[in-house]
This record gives sequence, C-alpha cells and structure tokens, in this order.
Amino acid sequence: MPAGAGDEAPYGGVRPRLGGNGDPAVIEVVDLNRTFGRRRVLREVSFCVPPGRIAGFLGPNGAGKTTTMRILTTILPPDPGKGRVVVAGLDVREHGREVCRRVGYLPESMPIHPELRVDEHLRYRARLKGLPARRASRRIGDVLELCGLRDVSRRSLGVLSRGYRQRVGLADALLAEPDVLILDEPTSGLDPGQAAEVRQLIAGLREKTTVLLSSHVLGEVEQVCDLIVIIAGGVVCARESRDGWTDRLARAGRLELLLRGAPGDVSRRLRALPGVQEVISAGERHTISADRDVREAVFRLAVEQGWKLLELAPRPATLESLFLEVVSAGAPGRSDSPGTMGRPGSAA
Amino acid sequence: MRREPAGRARGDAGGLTRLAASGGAGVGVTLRIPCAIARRELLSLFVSPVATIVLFAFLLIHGATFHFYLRALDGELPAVLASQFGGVPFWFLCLMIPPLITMRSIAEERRAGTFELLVSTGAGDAEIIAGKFLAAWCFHTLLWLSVLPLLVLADRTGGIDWGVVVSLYAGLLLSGALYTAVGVLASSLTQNPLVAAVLGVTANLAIFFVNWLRVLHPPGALEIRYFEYLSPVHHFGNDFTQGVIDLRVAVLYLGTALWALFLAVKALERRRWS
Repeated sequence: MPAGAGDEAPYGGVRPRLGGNGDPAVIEVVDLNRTFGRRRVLREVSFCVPPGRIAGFLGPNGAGKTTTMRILTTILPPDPGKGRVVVAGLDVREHGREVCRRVGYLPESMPIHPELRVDEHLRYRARLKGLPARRASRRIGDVLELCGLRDVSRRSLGVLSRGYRQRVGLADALLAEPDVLILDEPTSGLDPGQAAEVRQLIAGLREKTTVLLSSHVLGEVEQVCDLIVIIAGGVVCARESRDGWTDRLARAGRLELLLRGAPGDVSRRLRALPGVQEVISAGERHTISADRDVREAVFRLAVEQGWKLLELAPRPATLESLFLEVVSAGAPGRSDSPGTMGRPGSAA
Repeated sequence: MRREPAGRARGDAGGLTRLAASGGAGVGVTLRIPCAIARRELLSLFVSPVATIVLFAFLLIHGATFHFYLRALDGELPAVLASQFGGVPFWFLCLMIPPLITMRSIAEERRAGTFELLVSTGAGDAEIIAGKFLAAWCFHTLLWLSVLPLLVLADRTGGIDWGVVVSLYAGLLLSGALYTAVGVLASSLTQNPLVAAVLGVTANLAIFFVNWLRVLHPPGALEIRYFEYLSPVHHFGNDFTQGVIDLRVAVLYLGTALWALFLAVKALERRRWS
C-alpha cells in the first residue's frame, strides 16, 4: 500500500486517498502549517492514514510530532490558510468537538490528578467524553481488563508507577471506543515486558481502529506499524508503507565476504558484477553494497576463480539507519523555505 | 480565516443543554462538562486534607470572633451580627479565602499537563472556566454555610433577625461570586498557583479599597457616591447587614464576575497561540 510514496503530484487541493480499497483516509493532513510567534514549527506537512492502519510517526526531538498530534486532537489550532486537517471525515477547524469524540489521545507523559483513584479518574473522563452512565461503567470495566489495571483500580494515581500511569492513559484513550487513536510515545517509561504488552494491545487494534503513534523506539515501529511518516524540522521527509520500507531496507543492505587466496584486484572483479555499486576491502574482508541480491553471483565468481569463500553474510540495513539517512537528507535548515523532501510526492 | 482555536465547542452532543453558543471558539457552553469538572474539583478538594484544614481554620476564626463580639457587645445580637460580618476578620476571610481556593484551578492543571488532557475531550475554554468557577463558588458557599450553626445557637436566646441573615447570605453569595471569579481569572493568567494567589488577593484588595478613593474628594461630591456604589464595605455596612438586598449591587457583583470569567476564557484562548 503506497503511503504517499510515489505520488508525484502535491496534495494541495486534492483529497488524498490511501486505502488500497479506495476508502478515504481516516487521517488526512494536507499542507498543514503552524507557527508559534515567529517560530515556524510545521511547514506544509501532508500525510494520510487509511482506515484500520497503524502509522508510525517518527522524527527527532523538536521535529513537530507532538504539535501535529495536538492539532489532530484539536488541542491546538492549525495556522489559518489553505491547509486542511481531516480526522474521521471531519475537518478539525469546523467540527472540533465531534473530532474529539472520535479520537482517543495519549499524551507523551501521562499527566494525572494524583489524588484521584484509577476508577474515579476513568469515570471523570467518561463524564467529560459524554458517555452515558451505564455505558461508562461497562467501558471502564472493559478498559481496566484490557490494560491490566483491574488490580490497581482502587489505588490513587499518585502512588502508581510510571508504567501503570501510562496504562491508565491508554485505558482513557480507549474509553470511548474511538475511531482514531493518537498515541504520543505510548511505551515511554515502560519496562520491556510492559512495552511488549502495550505493543500487542496496539497491534490488536489493527483493522478496528486507525492509530497514529509516535515513538523513538524504531524496533517498536517496525513491529507494529503498517506505514511510517518521518518528520524533521517541521517537514515531512518520508512516507513509506511497510512494503516500501522493507524493500528499501533490503536494497540498502550490504554483503560481507571473507575471502582467502583472492588476488589483489578482487575489488575490481567484484565491482564488475551486475548490481554491485561499491566494494570496500580491508584485507581478506570485503563489504559489498548492491542494488539487488548478488549473493549467488558472488558465490559463482568465487568458485570460478578458485577463491576460498569462508564467509558470505548479508547485513540488512535497519530502520534506524534508514531513519538517520532520511532525516539528515530531509531536515531543512533554519530558513523558511520548505525542504524539497518535505513536499508530498517527493518523499522516499 | 478565523484565528480561533480549532473546534472548541461546536456541535453539541445529543440531548445536551446549550446555555450559550456562538461561532467563536471556546464560547459554546454545555452543562455536562462544567458539572463534570466541578464535581472532580470538589472530589479532589475533599479527598485531600485541603478542604478539612480550610474548613477547620475558617470555623475556628469565626467561632473565636463570634465569642469575642458576643462578650464585647453584651450579647446585643444585631450589633454582633454587624460586627461579625463587617469586622477585620470578616474582610480578611472574604478577600483571602477565594484566591486560595481558586489558585490551583487552572494554573495547576496547566503546570501538571492535565489541561491538555482536558481539552482533548472537546471541553471548550468557557466550559472549563465555568466548571472551575462553579466548584470554587460551591466550596466558598459551603464555608459560609458552616457558620450558620453559630447563628442558630445564638438565636436560642432570641434576637436574631433571620431576614438580615438571608440578606447577609445573599451578599456573601454575590461577593463570593465576584471574588472567586477574580481568583479564577488570576489562575488562568499563570502556571504558578502561588503567583495566582498573589494576583487574586491583590485584585480583591483593589476592589476592597476602592472606597478609600473618596478621601480625594470633598464631602458631598458626586464622585463619593460612585465610590460608595462600587465599595463592598459600603454594601455590607449599609445594605446586607441591614436586611437590604439592592438589585443594583447584585447586578454589579454578578456583572463584574461575568466580566472576569470572560477575561479568563480569553486568557485560555490566547494560550493556544503562544
């Protein structure tokens, strides 16, 4: 499913549709700008998330992730202008309250009223969200169970660990059965076991709920997300589907060889193989960068030349390396001109 | 394009009562959210020791002053009432307690980050301010109601004019609305509860001392009547403790309270752009 990758035309004025089945995107951000005073923190940000998909929202600190998420949850308004932010088919400028009702939000560090008990907090949140009393009771029971909070439901929030508070935040976000979940670093502060549980929980929402989650844990994004949006300096640098980034990682991978008895011009001969782009040699160890799988060709060459092939190991690229590459290439300077990587269609 | 917060308070939930509505963000108000906020505020107050300590101190001061005035005025109840609700301890409590109740209302929510969570439910700025005000006003009223048993006790010897008590409590409700609204406004201007308390007390003192401006004018000058009209000291001394509820005073207090709350809403709206 193409997450904007390959779109050549900018989104401006065009309603982006990403669902492979033709469904309109549940989250549509088109040419979003936001300034604080003179500081421009978002520059024509555009991306979409189709229904039922889990999107990872990546970027270095200060990239504009939280601001974007706050705009999607109507906590902050976008700058006036031609940009458009649509959540669950509703424009956040025109239907803010309705958008709130359809969105569950987990902020980065779950703020709490320490004197309230977990169940009191959830009941308060249910009242704010307009859940009728009977439905609220049922949903509170459900989310306590779902988030593993049953045992601490009568404990004050102030005495809970950070991990439990994060779970309370997640329970709160899920309380009103939202169409869209916006999670700002949902596993931040959790131990590995808790983080795995939360990831499993989020993955379980696939197809039922559209999720946008920001995270610095790239492994987590790789495990859970169907598409990624990378933002740096307020500009979208890349939008990739799972297929897209898997393919890109495969292409960006390297092959490591340990050859014995190879002549001095081994680098030149390896470079002559179709698809090989670069060969770095250090003694008997050679590292090949190629735009395709060249393992078989390398093996044949070694056999033909009578080299002793002691090791042939693919070293796939990681999402981390891809992230760093994209961010360093796409982050704009301090000037007001948007980076070229930020334009929809030019990404990745 | 309107420079307004996105989607604050537009489109009611089914069955909700709309008190006011406009296209302006943060102005549409429904009852559900202010009630939920006020309920949570009061719950937080009473599950922590704050409410108990404030109530205890409040009753202690009132009990002590009531005892003092009873002895000093030979049990002359009308005079005792006038002193009890017009003396220095009374004004000290009137001016200091509301900002102490309201100092955390918005400032603490913003400092702790719970304000963001509150807004993400679709709560409009006006609804948030209304809820905070409602909770503070209810608690303020409860404090003054706790003094009623003293008056009931004193009435066993006869002599309490309950009509005066009614007008006194009307005055307390009205002035309480003004002082708590000013306190909520102060709390909406900062993220530091202590600064909010200082701002609130300063503003309340300014309202209290408005009558002192009369010394700048010769006796009988028209301006003196203006200052009297604005002075809470004058209202309590000449109206409420005399069994009079002046509609003009009620309009003045409630109007000023609404104006302070409106400014508080504007202060929250401004936050979204800074």
